[in-house]
Amino acid sequence: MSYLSRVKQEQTMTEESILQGCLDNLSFAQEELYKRFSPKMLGVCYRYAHSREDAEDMLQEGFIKVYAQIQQFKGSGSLEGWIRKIVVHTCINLLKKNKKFSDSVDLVYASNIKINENNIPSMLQAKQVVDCIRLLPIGYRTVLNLYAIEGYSHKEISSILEIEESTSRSQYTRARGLLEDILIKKKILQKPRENVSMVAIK
Amino acid sequence: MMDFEQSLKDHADQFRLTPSKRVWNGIYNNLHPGSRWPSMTMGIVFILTLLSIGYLNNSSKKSTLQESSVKIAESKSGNSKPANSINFDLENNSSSGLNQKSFKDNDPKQSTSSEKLSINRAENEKLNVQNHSKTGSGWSSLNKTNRYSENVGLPSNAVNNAQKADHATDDLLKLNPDAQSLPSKSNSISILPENLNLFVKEDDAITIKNSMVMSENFNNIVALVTSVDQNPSSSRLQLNSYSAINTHLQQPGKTFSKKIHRRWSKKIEWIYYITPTISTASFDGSDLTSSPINYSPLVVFQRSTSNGMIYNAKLGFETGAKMTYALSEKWKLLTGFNLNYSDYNIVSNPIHPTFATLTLKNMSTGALYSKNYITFYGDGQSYGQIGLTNYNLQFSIPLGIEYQVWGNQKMQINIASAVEPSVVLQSNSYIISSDKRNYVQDPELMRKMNLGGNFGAFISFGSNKIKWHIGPDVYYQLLSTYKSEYTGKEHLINYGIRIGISKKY
Repeated sequence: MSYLSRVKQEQTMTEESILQGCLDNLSFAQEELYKRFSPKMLGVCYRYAHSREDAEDMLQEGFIKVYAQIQQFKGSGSLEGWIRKIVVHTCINLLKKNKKFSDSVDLVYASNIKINENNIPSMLQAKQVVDCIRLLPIGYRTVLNLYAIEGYSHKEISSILEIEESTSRSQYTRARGLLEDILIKKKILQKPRENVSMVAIK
Repeated sequence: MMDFEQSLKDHADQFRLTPSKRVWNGIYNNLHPGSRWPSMTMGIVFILTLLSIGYLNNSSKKSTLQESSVKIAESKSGNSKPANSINFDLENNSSSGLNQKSFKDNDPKQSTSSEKLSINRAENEKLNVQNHSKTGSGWSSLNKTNRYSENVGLPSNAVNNAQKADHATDDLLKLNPDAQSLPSKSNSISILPENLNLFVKEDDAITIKNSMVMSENFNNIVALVTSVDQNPSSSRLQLNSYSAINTHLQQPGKTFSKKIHRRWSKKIEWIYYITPTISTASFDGSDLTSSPINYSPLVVFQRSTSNGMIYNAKLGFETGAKMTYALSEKWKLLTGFNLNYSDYNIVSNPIHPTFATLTLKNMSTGALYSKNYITFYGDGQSYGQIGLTNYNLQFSIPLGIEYQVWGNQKMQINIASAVEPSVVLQSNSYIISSDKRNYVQDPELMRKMNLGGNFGAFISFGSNKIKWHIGPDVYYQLLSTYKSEYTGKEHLINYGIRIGISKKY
């Protein structure tokens, strides 16, 4: 296939044609699927991983699973959402396998955490937010990602991470508090106005 | 969702990172493995080596013994000179026609007994035989000063005959001055090969082939006949390098051939086979609990393993080629290549997408952890049963031994056993989840290499040219289908009837 015809094909490829191509194990359709969704998915992985290399490893494993299970996609939801789910689960599984959750903390230990937000370089705000998230300990970060960004409930999170639902709630609360502090200090988030009760002075 | 979460989600969703090329390369290589089959490559190289060895030992050296004597024949030359021949009388150790300088036609069919060789063989002497083609491989040019010594023991009278042949050749060269110039220009000169092979009668012990091709330019044919003592090891045959020996063959390019028994042709045998099998599997593992047997109207051979699976056997097959090398009369080494397809059916039922987990083991730390999956398949105990197929296609190289239990000229009974290191070409496997309620798929847990054991017994029988080998065959996969990370183990089992065919040399 010539380059120009391939470019034209890629431009006109719909999601359906990509899916069908992947089902037929056609390499150009698989590559097109990868090119369309890999930047965003790597961003997802980056929020869970310790480093960029770990994130790319997660991305690679995630997409391998996507291609392996592509025939199970029924079309009931969006393809991006389906891929994202697989990638998130891959990230969690890799973290569990590598025992990254040994870094996770309970509330007692959390009080001693010090986060140096001065290390975050000034970049676009999206990256700044993600970098702030990555400053959190792995356990907090994972719960925060799953609840606030991926939209899982605490019950689902407890099932995925094999923790108590109350632990999920408490970890999220603590994670959110820490993140808010960081974002405010970086002036990414405005400090919420305090509720002041007025007292009449006689 | 609260504002904070929404803001967080919006920012996170906007975030993009471009992955490096290695990520796609890794994915692509996983999807399209291509030629990254180092084991298969080595296996192919190994098989090609074996094939080459077998071919070299059996090729182009086959010859059938047509005559046990060296005949004097007339050349097919375009020369107008009359055909000449020189006859040697073995028994009388004399030669005729030397001084007459005339040559007679000699019909090979009417050759006298005096022209026949009589050679006896030493008990354990083996002679090298070379089939000299018209192109003259292994032949040397005419050189009066060169003399050859053969490893054939001959009496001194044979040496005398050689000297007579030498003189006769000199005469021949005088008659045909052109002959001397031919060797450098033509490949089809009738000259002695470096390794001389002598013909003998069938009833004599030694059978040697001497093949030469007459040059079309030769008018004269010199037959060198030698005699060999009863004890050939006591003497040596020395032949002049440009003594010519012709066979009874009239056409250039044909070689005088004789059947020669060779060790190699009887030692190696290739058997091509196919084995229809019944494929099933055995299961075990550390986290498995027992459950009762359930019967389903969908399946015929139904069992329940100790891990709650409901499955039934299916048809599979094995095919390939087996090469045996005879170490002795009864023992043989065997190798070859084999393609094995195994599958079995799992009874399941469709369910709504749900989470399922597998308990895995971290190989570096030994700690257990769970891995989550989204699955659509239940344990087969609900309404709407469906079948899931677990299959495995493997390419293997068997290495083993074969023993002949009983046999005669017409029929043999053998048993064979081999180990088969294999490469998994394709596989698909549904694994039961830790809670025994669902089936999940994880290709990463499947082994790419495996090891199997094969045992069989067969009867060999056949006609003069074709031999059949039929008998039961059992294959057991020694290593689990899954990697060690998965605590459950599956061992594929195939049993069937092997039908093989081989060609007799």
